[in-house]
Amino acid sequence: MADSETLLSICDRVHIVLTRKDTLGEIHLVSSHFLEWRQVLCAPANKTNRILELNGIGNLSFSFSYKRISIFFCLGAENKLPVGVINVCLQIIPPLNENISEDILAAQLDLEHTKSTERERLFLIYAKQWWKEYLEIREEHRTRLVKIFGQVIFIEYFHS
Amino acid sequence: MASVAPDKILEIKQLISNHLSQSDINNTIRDVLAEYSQRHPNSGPISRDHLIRELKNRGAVDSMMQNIQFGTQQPSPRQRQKSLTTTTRPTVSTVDTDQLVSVPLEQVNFDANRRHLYLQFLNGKAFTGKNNAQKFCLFFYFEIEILDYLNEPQSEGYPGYSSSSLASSFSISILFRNQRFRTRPFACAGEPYINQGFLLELHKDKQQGKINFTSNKKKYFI
Repeated sequence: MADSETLLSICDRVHIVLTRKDTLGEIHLVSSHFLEWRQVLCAPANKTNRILELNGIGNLSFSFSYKRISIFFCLGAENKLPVGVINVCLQIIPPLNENISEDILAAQLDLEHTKSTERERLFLIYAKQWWKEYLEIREEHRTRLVKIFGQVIFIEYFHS
Repeated sequence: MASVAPDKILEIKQLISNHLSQSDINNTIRDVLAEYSQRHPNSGPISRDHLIRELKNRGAVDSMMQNIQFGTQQPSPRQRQKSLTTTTRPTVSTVDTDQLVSVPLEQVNFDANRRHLYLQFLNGKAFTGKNNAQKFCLFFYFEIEILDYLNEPQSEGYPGYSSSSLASSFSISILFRNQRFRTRPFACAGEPYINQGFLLELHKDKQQGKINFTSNKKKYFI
C-alpha cells in the first residue's frame, strides 16, 4: 500500500468543473478549479473540510449603442468573477499511519512551484531564440505576421 | 460489562446516540406515533412493544442496523469477496450520502489495499447566479443578456433533486489521474445542496494495476 511519501509525491490536482444546464438543455461552462488535495495528508485522521472558491470563466460582455453604432466589449479569460463557494470534505481511506508535517508539505509544494516556473522560463527563452532565428532566415520574415503564442481559457493546462 | 471503563461506556453511549440521530429514526418514530393516534384516538399512549413492532415492520430497524460500521474502514470478508468477483467494474464508484457531514461508505466496494481519496461535495454557498453571460448577435447590433439563472422558475419537489428537465441545474465534473466522474444534477440555487462523494484511487500498485478499465470509463467522459 502506498506510504505517505508516495502520496506526497503525487502532484496531480483534482480538476473540478462546474457546468450549468439551462432550460433549453444547453450546457454552459461556469467554473473550473484545480484542487490541491495534499493538505489532507497533514490533517488529523486524514480528514479535513475545505471551502472551494469557484471563479467564473464566462465571457462577460457589454455593449452600448450611439447613433446606430454599436460598441461591443468582451472580456476574456482574465475575467474571473466569483461564482460561489462549495464546501467539500476530503479524506484518505484507509488513513495513513502517521501524518505528514505541514513544513514538509510546504517544502514539497515550494519545490514543485520552483520547478514549474523554471520550466516556463526555459520555454520562454527557447521561444525567443526561435523567433530571433526565424527573423534572421529571410528579410521578408521581418514583415510577415506570425502568431506564435496563443491563450486558452484554462491557462492552467500549461502547467499540468 | 464490569471490565469496561466508565469513560468507555460513555463513549459507546455517545456513539449509539450519534448513530440514532444520523439514522433519522426520530422522524420515523414521529410518523408511527401520528399514525397510531389517528387510528386509535381514544387508546392513550402507545406501548413500547407496539412501537418496536411497528418500527420493525417498516424496516427502520433493519436499515439502521445495516448502516453500522465496525472498527476501521476495512470491508468485511464478504464485501472483499464481492469486490474480487466484480473486478471488471471500476473500483471507484459514486457514493450517495444521507448526511451532510458524515461519511457512510458502507454501500461501496473498494480495494482496502489501496489508498483512496474520498472527495465529498457537501453544499454550496453564495452562488451569485449572474456570472454567465450570453450574447446574441442580431443584424448590425449586439444585444447581451445576462442570464440570471437563480431567478428562473424551479421545479417543485425535493430541493437539490430537481427531476424536471425544464429547470436549469448545475453539475460538477471531476478529473483526477484519468478518473472522470460527474455528480447528479443539482438545483441552481443560492445555497445548493449537493451531498455527493467520489472515491478516487490515489495510487496504483504495479502488480495490481493490470486490469484495464478503459472500456468502462467511457461513460464518465464529459
